[in-house]
Amino acid sequence: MIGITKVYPIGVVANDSASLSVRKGEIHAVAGENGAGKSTIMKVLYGAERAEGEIFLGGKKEEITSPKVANALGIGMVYQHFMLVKEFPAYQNIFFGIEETDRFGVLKKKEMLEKAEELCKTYDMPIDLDEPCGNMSVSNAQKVEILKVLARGADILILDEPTAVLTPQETEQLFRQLRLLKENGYTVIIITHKLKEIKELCDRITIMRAGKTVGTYNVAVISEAEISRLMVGRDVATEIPKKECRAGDVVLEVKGLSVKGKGEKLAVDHVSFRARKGEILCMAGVEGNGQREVVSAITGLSSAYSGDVLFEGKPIKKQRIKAIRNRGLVHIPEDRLKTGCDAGSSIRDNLISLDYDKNSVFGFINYKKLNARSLEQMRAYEVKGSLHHKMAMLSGGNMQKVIVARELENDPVLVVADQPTRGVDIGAIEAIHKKLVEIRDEGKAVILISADLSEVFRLSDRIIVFHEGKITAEISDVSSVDEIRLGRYMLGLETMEANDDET
Amino acid sequence: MKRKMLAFFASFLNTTATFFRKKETKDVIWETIRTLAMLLFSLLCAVVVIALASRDDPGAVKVFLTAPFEDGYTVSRILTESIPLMFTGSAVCLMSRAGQFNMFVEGGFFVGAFVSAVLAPELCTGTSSFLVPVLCILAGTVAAAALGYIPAKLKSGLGIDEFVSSLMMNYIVLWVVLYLLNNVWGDPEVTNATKYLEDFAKLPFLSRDNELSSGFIMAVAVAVLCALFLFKTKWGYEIRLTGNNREFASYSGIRTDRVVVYSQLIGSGLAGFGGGVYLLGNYYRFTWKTLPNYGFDGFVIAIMARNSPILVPFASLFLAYLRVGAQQMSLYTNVQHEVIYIIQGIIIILFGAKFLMDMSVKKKRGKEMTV
Repeated sequence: MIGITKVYPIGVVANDSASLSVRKGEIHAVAGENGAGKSTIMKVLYGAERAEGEIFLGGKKEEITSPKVANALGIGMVYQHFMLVKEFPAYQNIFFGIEETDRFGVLKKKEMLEKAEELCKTYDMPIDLDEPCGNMSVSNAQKVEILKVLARGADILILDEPTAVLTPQETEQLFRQLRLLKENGYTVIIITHKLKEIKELCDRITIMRAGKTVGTYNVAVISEAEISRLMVGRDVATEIPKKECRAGDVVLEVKGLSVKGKGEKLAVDHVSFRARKGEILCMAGVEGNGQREVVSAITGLSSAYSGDVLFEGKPIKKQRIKAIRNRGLVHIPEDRLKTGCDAGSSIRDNLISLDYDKNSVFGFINYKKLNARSLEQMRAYEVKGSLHHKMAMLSGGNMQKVIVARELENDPVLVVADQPTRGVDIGAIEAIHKKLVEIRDEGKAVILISADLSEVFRLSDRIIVFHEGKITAEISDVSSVDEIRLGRYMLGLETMEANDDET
Repeated sequence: MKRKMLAFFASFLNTTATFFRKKETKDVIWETIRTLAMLLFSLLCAVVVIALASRDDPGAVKVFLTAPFEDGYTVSRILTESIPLMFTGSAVCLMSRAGQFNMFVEGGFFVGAFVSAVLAPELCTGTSSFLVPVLCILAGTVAAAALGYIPAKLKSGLGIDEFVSSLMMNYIVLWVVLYLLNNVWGDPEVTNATKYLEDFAKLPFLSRDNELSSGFIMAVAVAVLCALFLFKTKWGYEIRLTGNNREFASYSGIRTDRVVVYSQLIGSGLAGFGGGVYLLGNYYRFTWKTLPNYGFDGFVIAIMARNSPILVPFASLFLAYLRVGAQQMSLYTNVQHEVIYIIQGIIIILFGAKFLMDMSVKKKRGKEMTV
């Protein structure tokens, strides 16, 4: 692929003359900060977006006008958000759109199952082909996605941040399968910004910054620090300086919290824990093990639960969200587009949503003051864009910065940070982490929910691990466990009796 | 001196150039061009339709286009026709900004007009104050808002779709009003009419010769106030946030159930206000037998104005111009004025399609944000 330039209709240049060349049979990483244009260049390659520039495949110039063309050329893509029909069994998803049918249009289940099984066996991906995809774990659903691409005869696989939602064990497994694919002559392109994985898995790496390619390097000869410097354009601290934890009074107390799930099972099963001032408490766990329900309960977004949630000694259930917010509960939500912002409004309007009413005189919002403040916040958090730009024009990372700025600058007493750095680039991660530690050092309580283990280890003072709606482990001394051990807790392979530490 | 002038001129050119190079300015200019192009295109369609319908009457197109500007009276007809459109258009803008598709602008307008017309002769007995029209219109506003509260509360309390319930409300209101008009509060001498309005119960004229009422100024003022309300006040902010992303609004602490109610209360109230103003400004008694359709026109206006109240007067004037043109044409030629509905349909399709297109672009861009 040579010289792709992709210009968005609204005028933000996403790929400003980027070029990428990938060798057959290699695992190639595309790394870069958010908004660097990694996804865009991949979408162009997959035909999901059009761009100026040329694409060569095996020396031949190709016009990839749609994913269908890309499929025909042997290019397949696994998106970060899975594109599966939840209600359909795995094998039907694998052959979705290329179903084998007889003359009357009836699905030939047996043939498809056989084919799928063969694929599973060849690439060591044991899954239950009859299980509806909606019931599957994330890692199995991902396998279905990969099989789906393979069934279409792809020999170039593009994976968009495949490890973002996996545990260390599952990541390990995925890497094994990817290596197996490589041995079978497949070419794998993987978008990621996890340096460790690049070092572990990939042969070569192309680094992108601000829509341009910085260069392509052999992974064997480039260090992690070098990569991160090239991605960000400056040196990045990998360690955050942290004062010793001095946990104070209890800010949030959860007692016997239960939330109904689908069917008989409880999504959250009699969970109790406390968050203290001056401490970062981390709720670790594979996604979908009850963390989301707990977050909805402790932030007052949902009151469909039994048990007690006390914020500074008062039950949250009976209070309006406004009241809880005014008392200093801030929340960085997991889903930034659905909950965290209004994509149709300006950046400014997104920054003032917590205190526009306090800054009003006779109902008229004091925009002069708030504009100045918003500008200041945008500068402090390095948000690219201007006050009146629509939120939708920002890249994911910049959007997250706006949300974090709004929440953390609103005098927090308790911060609930749900995947605060998901999909955010290294530079911004560093800034967000620093800010969270700063808030903790000021003696405020932080609850961090994260699926990213390196983040968990970097920040937390105490970890509670969720598995199937229960707390399976509580780790007060974070340095006493390693990633492997934590991963085992997260998968429910091991449990630790929760001992109430009444310090 | 000459030098100074030149320097000034250069700096002026410079600032103008940067102004035009700015992305926001470019966007605005581009939007304006697109809108004008669409208006021109719909006008062109109108001309084609009329030309086809009037093959034996070659002057029809010319009459349609130029007759509205014939003299002061026809121009004043345009302004008059735009009055109800501005009120209902602004009302629809406010409600759809909150994500509410309340059809009660129609019924609200009707009720507002009826209540003012019924009340005016009653109040006139004894007083002859300028307060009479004010009080009448106020009563019409309150009545419309109170009735609009029903679908609003049904939505926020029980989750009943406001579109359906407000549409039903329109007909309930229509028949109840007609019953009252014919049996209780009407003029007993004739059917289906209120008593005549006294002169001082009416709104003052801007131009008595051309029958242009001061309601026009109020209508423009309402559109401007709506824009201020939406973009400068905290309630407007709540409305916009709730309409765009209700989940985000309630996560931020906004009581969205309240926003749903008050946006519809204000919208219905505005419609009622418009009904009162229009009736006291342009009629001598209330004689409507069916819903006047101005509420539904409000949706056309809101679509053209892209839910921006500040654009409502322009959209209203354009539509009013087309309507007066069609009326004049049916007077002078044998082309019926109903062709206007074809044009209106084209406008809705054009602007509606653009609306949808913009929304889908927004959505697509939203999806790209994940990496």
